[in-house]
Amino acid sequence: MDQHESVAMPRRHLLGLLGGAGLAAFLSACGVSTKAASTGPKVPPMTFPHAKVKLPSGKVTFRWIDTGARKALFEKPLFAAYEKKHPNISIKYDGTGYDQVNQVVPLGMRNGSAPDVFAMPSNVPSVTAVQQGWVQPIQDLIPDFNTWQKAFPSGSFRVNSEIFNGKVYTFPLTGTKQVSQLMVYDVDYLKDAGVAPSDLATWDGLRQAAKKITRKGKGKYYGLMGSQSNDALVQGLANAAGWYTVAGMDMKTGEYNYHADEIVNAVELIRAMQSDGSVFPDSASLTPLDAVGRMPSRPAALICDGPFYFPQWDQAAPNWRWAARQMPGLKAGQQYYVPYSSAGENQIWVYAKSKYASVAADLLSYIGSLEGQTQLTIQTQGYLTPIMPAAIKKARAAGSLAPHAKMATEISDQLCRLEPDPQIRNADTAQVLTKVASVHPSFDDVMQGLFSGQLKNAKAELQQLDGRLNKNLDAAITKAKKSGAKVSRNDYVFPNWDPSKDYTQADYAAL
Amino acid sequence: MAQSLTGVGAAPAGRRRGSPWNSRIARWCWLFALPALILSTLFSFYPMVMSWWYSFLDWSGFTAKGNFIGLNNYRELIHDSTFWSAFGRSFIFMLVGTPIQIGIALLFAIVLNNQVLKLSPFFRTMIFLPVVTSAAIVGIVMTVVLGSFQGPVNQALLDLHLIGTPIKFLSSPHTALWSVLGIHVWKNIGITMIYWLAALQTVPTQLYEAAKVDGAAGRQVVRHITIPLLLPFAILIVILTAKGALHTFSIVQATTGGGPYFSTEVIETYIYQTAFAANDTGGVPRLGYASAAGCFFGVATLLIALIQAWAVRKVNTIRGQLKSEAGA
Repeated sequence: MDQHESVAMPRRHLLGLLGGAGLAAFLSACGVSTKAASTGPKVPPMTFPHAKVKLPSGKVTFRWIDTGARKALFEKPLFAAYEKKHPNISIKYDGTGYDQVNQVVPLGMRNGSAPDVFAMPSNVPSVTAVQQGWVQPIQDLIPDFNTWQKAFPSGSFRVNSEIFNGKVYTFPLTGTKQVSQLMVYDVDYLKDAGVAPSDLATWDGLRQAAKKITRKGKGKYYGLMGSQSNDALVQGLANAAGWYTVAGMDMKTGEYNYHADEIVNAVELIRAMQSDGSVFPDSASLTPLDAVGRMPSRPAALICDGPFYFPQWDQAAPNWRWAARQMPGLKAGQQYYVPYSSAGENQIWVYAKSKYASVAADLLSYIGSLEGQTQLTIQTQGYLTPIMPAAIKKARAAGSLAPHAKMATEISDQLCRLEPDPQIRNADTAQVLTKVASVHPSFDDVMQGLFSGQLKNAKAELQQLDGRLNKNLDAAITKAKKSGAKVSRNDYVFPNWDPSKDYTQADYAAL
Repeated sequence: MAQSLTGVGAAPAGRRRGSPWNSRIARWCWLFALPALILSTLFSFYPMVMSWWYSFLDWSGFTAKGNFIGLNNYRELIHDSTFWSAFGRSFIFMLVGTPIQIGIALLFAIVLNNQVLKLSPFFRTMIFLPVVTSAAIVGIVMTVVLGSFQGPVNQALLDLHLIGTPIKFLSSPHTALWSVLGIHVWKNIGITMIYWLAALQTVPTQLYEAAKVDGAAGRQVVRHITIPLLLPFAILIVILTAKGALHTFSIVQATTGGGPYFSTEVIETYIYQTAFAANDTGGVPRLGYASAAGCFFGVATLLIALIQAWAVRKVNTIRGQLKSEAGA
């Protein structure tokens, strides 16, 4: 071995060791745990009941893709229990988010390799999926279907949403009775700055609290965490001030109403807080997901968010003391209401060409039962709201809710009211969804422009946005009519809507 | 039949000698090229042709068929200010980024081409590493590195008293595009350096020795020997680098997503958003419209390729003239 070689060997060895150590550190950092949060009650292991359908006997790889997050807290132990019960069936679960679903599912449809069960991509109307033959009815798969279906609350199955051509194609895994905008606060930062949680009850109180916290933080942390568009924060503040819409539409008039004073004033409030220096400086470069992801490292005391990432926060920072309350209103103690849909969400679909539809039937039959819904609540410690109210009662009685989930559920129970749904009134409005093109600039874009200073006049910009949205909807209605749908703009007008009350069948009948 | 030294038979009587259709070697060449041709057809030519067809459709991409609407997509495109802004930004990206990338890469290549420099392989590797690093990772890391809250760059500038308040590199509409451009140049400078290194290594060392004997200094050598001999390669490298800048997507998407408020939106992110992304107002994607935008932009890029072909031909003509004059 010559001198050059004797130098080269130790250097290569060292580089290899460093690379190996680096790789190990990287891989361990990449690991995502779906263990239940350590702050909540202990989650009991799941067992799966006997199959009610004839399952395949050979080796099976069953594929399931959805958006993961809180659903993964339930689905991972569910699939583990199912595999234990049926050792010949292996479930390949992909729960990584809409980006993945939006790519994998349409591609799989085109080349005949779609997963057996999937969440619908966010930009594909379910009507389109049925019309294109992507999915098959679960009505034909689930044993004793009529009895199974009766356990769901009224309004869970809508024509052209879950029911197509007289058959049921899907069901909602979870309910939507959940407030998406809560004011989450860091308990210790508030205490250190001498701010009481009740000080966050008003817009003025929020602004003053953020200033105090920022002053106390001295550059190490700030009052409010924002994001590129602050769209959730703006809508949450406006809602608490009395702005009642469904996806930006005032359902009393059927017109988009983003240019309402509540929205404009909410924008001005956040701009003022930015001028105060109370908003986290990097907010403008953060997507909402980035902003949420940063919170466990405590760069800010306040953030507007729903309970979507509470389990991840509890896992990432179990010693971080935080709480949530309703959004600040214009006056202390101002009651406001949050419209929500009876429809439920997180619908899951069975691929039309799945070879293992019986496995799908067995799993879905369980998930849609009271026992399955109760387990959904228990395994997620209440972070997911089941579609069946009886399930959450059972889970509460068993003491299975995490403290933060309980907090979010109690606020939701207090504020949420059923909203009017054009699809319940006229199932053909689902056809309009297949014709509506994306609008640019969207609300999100306009908010980005306003907060970056590129757009100046919030009222004028939002009026233009509403103009684009209304025009877009009218064009979609015209196209839907040409395709044979019996729809009109009037289907979106509910003059008898009272946001403070649930919109019931009686209200639909009174139209 | 006469046998050549290579064992290849002479062309049979009545057929042209060396005709590619007859040569056994040529047939093997076609056979070996076939997989690449098939893959190119499937993944390049077919999508290119089909995107032209899709540009005439009103189509979301999810239904089996779209509605034929003729040139309506192009008519809408002409009046789409967001498209033209993205188009303009792509060309700014190219016109500003390309000379910077080429100039700095050439300097690196000239320095690192020096065989005397012992650590030259190490520096070449370090400069090339960003090229092989995933753009998504680079984007995420850079949002932290350039962040105004405890970001290392801002911290260094503040500590050196060069700035009084942190610069919002990626979140201010005034600096976002230039910051993304800087990241793009940093990430890709390695590959341009490799092109230059390859070009530099075609320069005969005897010319450098002769220049040294004649007493030429470093700058004179670069000016009178290196640059003229590099000129044909320079044109190719400029075109490749410009093409890379025009088609930038992953760095923009990973750092700013085209924001804030479209201030870093380039044509590739515009097409992506239109064709695939869902936005907060709902609505289905517009694959047909996005295809029209892509085809329109493709024509612009084609013009650049034509300019390249003309420039290469022109340089070769000039070189040929210079050679014949030198010979005379």
